Formats: sequence, C-alpha cells, structure tokens
Amino acid sequence: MRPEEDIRQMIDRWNRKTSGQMDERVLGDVLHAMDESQGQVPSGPPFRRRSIMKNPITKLAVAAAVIAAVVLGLFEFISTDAGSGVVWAEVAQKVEASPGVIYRGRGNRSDSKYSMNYLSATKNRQDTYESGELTVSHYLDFETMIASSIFHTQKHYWRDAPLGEQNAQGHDEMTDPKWLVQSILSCEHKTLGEKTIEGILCEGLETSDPAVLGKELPVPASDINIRMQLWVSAETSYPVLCEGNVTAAFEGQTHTSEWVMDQFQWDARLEPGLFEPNVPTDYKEI
Amino acid sequence: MLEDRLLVLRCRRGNREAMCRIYQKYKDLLLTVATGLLHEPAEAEDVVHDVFVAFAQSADQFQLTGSLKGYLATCVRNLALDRIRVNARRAEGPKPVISSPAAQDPERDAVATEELAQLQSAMGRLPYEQREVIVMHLKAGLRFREIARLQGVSISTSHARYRYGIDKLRSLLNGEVQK
Repeated sequence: MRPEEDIRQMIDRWNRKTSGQMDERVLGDVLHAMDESQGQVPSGPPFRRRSIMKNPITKLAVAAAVIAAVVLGLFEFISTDAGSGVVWAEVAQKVEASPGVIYRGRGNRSDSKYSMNYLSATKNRQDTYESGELTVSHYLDFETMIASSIFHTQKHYWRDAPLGEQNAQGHDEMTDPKWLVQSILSCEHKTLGEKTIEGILCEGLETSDPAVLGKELPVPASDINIRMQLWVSAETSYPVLCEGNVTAAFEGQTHTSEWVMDQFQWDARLEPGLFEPNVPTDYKEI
Repeated sequence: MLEDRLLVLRCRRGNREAMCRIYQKYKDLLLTVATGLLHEPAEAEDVVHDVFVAFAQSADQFQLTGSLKGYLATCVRNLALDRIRVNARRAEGPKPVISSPAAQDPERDAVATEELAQLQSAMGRLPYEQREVIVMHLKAGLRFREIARLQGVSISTSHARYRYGIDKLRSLLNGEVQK
C-alpha cells in the first residue's frame, strides 16, 4: 500500500480554484446581501444563483492589519535627545506640508506582494502588485465621496461607488504616512542614531509605546508588544523608511503583524489624471 | 488570526472591501472542501455561494469566537450535509474536478492531475463520515475534537474514522500512479 505520508501529500496538493465567473456571481450576491443587511439598499428579489448583479464597492488601502486600525491625530511632541542632527519638529511640519506623497507598502521586507500608494490631500490611489504584476487598483476621492476599483487579474471593475461614512473615516485610519509620522513623534520614543539606507544618511526613532496604535483597538487585545521605527533623511528631513511589528494576545493566542513603508517621494505634485480610473475596454463591470 | 478578526469587525461595520478580502482568502479552500464532500462541482459552487451570502447577511451581527476559516469550513460542511441528505446518494460515480497543481513540466503536470483525479475518485468511494473527517482535518484544518463535536461522536471515533479512511485510500490507490 502507499505510505500514509504519500496520501497526505496528495490531499495537500488537491485544490480546486474558483472560476472568474463564479467569483463574479458570488461576490455580486454577497455584496448585495451585505448592502441589504446594512440597510443601504431596499430589499430586492431573492438571490439568483449564477446571475451577475451590478454592485458598487468601495476600497480602502490596507497595508497592515493592525496599523489600519490606528486612530491618529495626536500632535503632542516629546522632545528627542539633544544633539540630534534632525530637528524632529521640522520633520512633522514638512510631512504635513507635503501636498502629495508616494510610497511602497509591504507586509515585510521579503514580501513579493507590495502596493504603490499615491496620496494627495483629497484623493488616494493604491496599485497592488504580486510577483511583479499589477493585480488591483483602487481609487478613493474624498471630494466627490466616490470610489472605484479595477481588478486586473479578473478583468473586473466597479466605479463611482458612493463612499460610506465608514470609508470616509477610514481616510484618517489608513496607512497614511503623514498620520503615522505624527503618531510616532507624539508617543514616547528613543533615538536610534544614524544609519545609511539606500545610500541616504538617516536618523532614526523607535517607539514601543502601544499608544502609537491609538486610543482604541479594534479587538480587545492584551500584552501588546510593538516596535515601530522611523528613519528620516538627515539632509531633507523627510521620512525614508517606516517599519514595525506588533504582537498581541487575543483569546489565548498570540498574533503578529509586520509592515514596511519605503520608497517615499515627498512633496510630490500628483497629476489629477493619476487618480482617474482608466478601465481597459475588455474589462467587465460588476 | 488577528487579520481575520479585523476583517470581521470591518464587515460588521459594512466595509465591503473586508468582505471581498475574506472571500478572496477562503474561496478556493472552501470550494475544495465542498467538492471533497459533495463530489458534484456545481453543487459545491452553490454551497460556497450560499455560505458566503449567509455570512454577508449576518455580517452586521456576526461574532467570531474561533477561527474564521474553521467557522466557514463548518458552514460548508453543514450545508453540504444538508444537500447530501436531501439528494440522497447518487447512483452515478463521482465526477472528478481537479485543478492542476502548479507544476511547470507538462508531463509531470499531467501525471499529477491524473493522480489527483484518482484521489478524488477514491475519496468518493469512502463512507461519508470517513471522507468528512479527512477533508475537514486535512483541508479545513479542524482538530479531531472539533470534528467529533460536529459529527456527534467521541474523539476516538472521529480519530478511528480518519484512520480507516486513510487506510482505505492507501488501499484504493495502491498500484496507481506514483509520484
């Protein structure tokens, strides 16, 4: 007889994948059901399997699960060590004054999946790449309060979906590096000295203050251990790298989350066209 | 996982993106589980559809007490079992629907696909209770005590069903295509 391990491995390899058609009909019905349960649309006819329902959806950029829940807005500076070449108050001011910023977000340094994020004062765009290929593009417009998404892998899209209050609030909760920098600076932190990153002389700060996660956590976690580092160019006073990890206990289990934000382009003047969804003609609306 | 907790919390607040992420994360696993239990591709798809729709309908009040993966897989199992009870046993043999493993070599790919088709066929010849333990344990990641609770049997019975099922698979697949 075949060894048991052989059978286990076969079962491990045994996978069925959903088709694009199935994704379309299931997601359509699921989002419709969600709308109904939230009272956002009047009750309609019963769900019909294998039917394609048009449904709006909104997208918020999420780079790291825990950080996505950060409630920021504190701006109370704690003075850093004397002798630092970087004037940290100036960092906060420059970051805040930056009209736009571009950065790369990843789960960790070796993650092949990453997102390129484009943030202006009123618009966000996030392009997600997996193994070098663009998979999803999300657009949020906080002036018109609409959102659009293009799923390149499935060749699907939705556009001009109204942004709900929840998603509008998410604008502040998101991994907006401006907010993140201010949060780190407002928490208890220590200086890390100098380090050259990508050829740029930087000075760093590190915080292990759970307050950097904000006043409210989305789940009642305990034993929170966080380490967040911010590295700023000694020459320009703009952030170059922000990374961190957090472990927290929840319902008897320890959970870990990591994130890395780098390849920053500060003081960016982002063209309005960058935030206009450009849907290829062969993509299907869902 | 903490990520799942956050996704569920966002779903409760009506965040559709979170719902999409949950679907993307678990759709293939649940479809595999459903197919393993039902052996009918279209019905397996309908079960996964119904599980996600039901989840979306109750998302605003949903309380996650264990793992989301385990919860969804259990929902799939319950709906699959309902269908099996309603439809009774089908006279016809199982219909293998296997997605190819990510092999680069076409020859190896073909062998692997054939092998997995044989596995699916052999799975279909197991008594449902044994098949359920194997699928829920090895694919859905449930522990034996969780499966025992689902099946309303003792942990040792659940374990024995797994043991008998694996032994029967070994026997059924004996002499078939080797890796």
